[in-house]
Amino acid sequence: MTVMEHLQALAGGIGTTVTLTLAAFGVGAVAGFPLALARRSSQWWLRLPALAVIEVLRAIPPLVWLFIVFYVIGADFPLMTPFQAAVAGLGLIAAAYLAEIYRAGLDAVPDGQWEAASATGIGTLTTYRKVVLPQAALIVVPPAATYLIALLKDSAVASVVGTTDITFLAFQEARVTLEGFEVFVIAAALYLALSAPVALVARTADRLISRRLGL
Amino acid sequence: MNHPPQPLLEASDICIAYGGHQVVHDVSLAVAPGEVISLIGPSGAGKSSFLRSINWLEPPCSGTLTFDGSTFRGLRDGGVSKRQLQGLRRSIGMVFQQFNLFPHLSALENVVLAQVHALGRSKAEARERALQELHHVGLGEVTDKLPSKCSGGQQQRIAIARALALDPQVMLFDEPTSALDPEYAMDVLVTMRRLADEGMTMLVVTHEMHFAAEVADRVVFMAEGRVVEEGPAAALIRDPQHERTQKFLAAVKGR
Amino acid sequence: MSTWIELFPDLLPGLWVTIKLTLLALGLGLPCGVVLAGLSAAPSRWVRWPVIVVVEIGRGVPGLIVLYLVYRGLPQVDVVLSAFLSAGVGLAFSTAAYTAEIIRAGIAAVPVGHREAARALSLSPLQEFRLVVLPQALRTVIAPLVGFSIILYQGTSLAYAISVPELLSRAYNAASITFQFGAALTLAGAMYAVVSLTATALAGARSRERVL
Repeated sequence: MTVMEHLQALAGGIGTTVTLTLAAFGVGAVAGFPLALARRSSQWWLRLPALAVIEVLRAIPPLVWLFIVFYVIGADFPLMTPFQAAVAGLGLIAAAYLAEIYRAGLDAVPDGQWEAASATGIGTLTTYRKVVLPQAALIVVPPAATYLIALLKDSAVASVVGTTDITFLAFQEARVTLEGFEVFVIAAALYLALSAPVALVARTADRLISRRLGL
Repeated sequence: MNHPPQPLLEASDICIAYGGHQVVHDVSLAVAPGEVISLIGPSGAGKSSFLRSINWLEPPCSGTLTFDGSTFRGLRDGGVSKRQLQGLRRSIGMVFQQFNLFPHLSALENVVLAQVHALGRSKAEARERALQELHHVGLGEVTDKLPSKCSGGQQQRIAIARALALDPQVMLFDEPTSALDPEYAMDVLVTMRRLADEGMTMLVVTHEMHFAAEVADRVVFMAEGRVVEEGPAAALIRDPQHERTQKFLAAVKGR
Repeated sequence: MSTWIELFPDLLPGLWVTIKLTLLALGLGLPCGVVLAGLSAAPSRWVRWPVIVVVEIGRGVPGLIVLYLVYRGLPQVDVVLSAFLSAGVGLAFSTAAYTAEIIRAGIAAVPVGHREAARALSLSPLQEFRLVVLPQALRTVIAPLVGFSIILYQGTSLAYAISVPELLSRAYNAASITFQFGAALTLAGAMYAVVSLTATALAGARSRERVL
């Protein structure tokens, strides 16, 4: 078999890998936000549960979460596909990691900005919306992009429950052709190629932000 | 000043460039033994770069330095060997704006380190000497503290003790009080003045005009990488000749 | 809860394999990481660039692909390792890459001024590295290294995919026999979490990135 033939066999999984990664990232990006706000709350009954959820989500391996979603929760939802289970499982973990990234971004906005905003008499909500979030959003881009790459790599575990992503197709191709060495090297190269543009975005954003915020 | 004509240190036509951009142009300066020279001028004048070229932290691209009978050539004129460099730095002490104490070592260990590893003194001897130097700068009581537990003024004086413990013939000070609150800056300036009174040869990049006027023998005013004017300290600061110097001093005094 | 107690003895040997796998990957990978970090600062670019490429590959490829490559790819070039060793070697490769980057960053984080001060005090380049740079770098590197070890501990669960009888495999097998998927998998999750959280708390390490 030639490299081109292997590549063709794996190419069918690129779409699944990308969709899965972006969907899980989307779930995490949305769910992580309230989690980050709760984690920063001055009320202990919000802060402590948020802390517990974040810590537990990050203390258990992605593959184990995936199994819990697919085999345990999935038992009550017989129509759940492996892809949906993977989006939910990886999305949960992403929520915890992105919550911590959001929190760091919010913390990075200097206290003086809060003070200056309250001195002008605008309320907490307006301060968040008009002053703090625009600054935090910028700071969050590079670590979030780095996390997106980590999530892309994590998405490979979805193949274990039968999601037909790059890794799944590579596994099959290796079994059929008995050329595992070439096949997995090609799969590795595909993942690297997918993460390269994101890495570039992260690096460029980092440079832009340091210049713009004078950090 | 009636110094003997033989200088202890002589820099001739020193040029320094960063990536094609030249920041110091043909600066020459002869320093007599025991002389205290202040380098003043606006920021970006090349004062610090020139000072750092004297112990080769900023190797000059051309020009020569003569010190203690040896000649050191800039990169384009042949450069210097590792041995030469080691010898030069052993005889020249340096004090930085940001102190640059080693944060993982106590005050005493900071002063001991190079004595043992660069001069080969025994640990006991180095320790004794370090205590002596720390007392000398008025810090007998902080010897076992980490730098992070010391005030800025104390850190800078520890840095001075660290340099003095190697018995330098010349001391370089790169804006030693710029990072300090005025109160702490005073402690450091007092220490430096005493050092000058004891006959140490010193080159001081500074924005403290009082120090320049009262302690230095000579003041060198630099701007845009060149020496604009130099002369006896009190006279130059009271009565600058060059227009550029007048403007700078007026601005500084007006503050 | 009572099913957890019944299942626990079944899962315990798996935890032991998981811990052994973590230690094997660290033992093989960390020394390689130190060497790679040193080489990535080499003056010659013929040394530096290949090292940087290896480190970036090690950090950029999913751990699962690396394990498959070792277990199912290497036999093709006549390198046949047991499942356990394959997992150990694969995880060690990722470990070497990640720790190399952690150590490189630790060395780079030592302020330039401290190196200059060492030079001004006429310390030799080797002394500068040994007495000034290394002791400081080690301090900044310990927390991220502990953080990485916790991630590695979790990453060993990937070895399930090449049938190493580690914690997750044990849990899955126990579940398929008794059909108690909920109890077995949550117990495994708890066993991962307890070790991870305890190690995190002990080390006070807060720097954790999702990596493998």
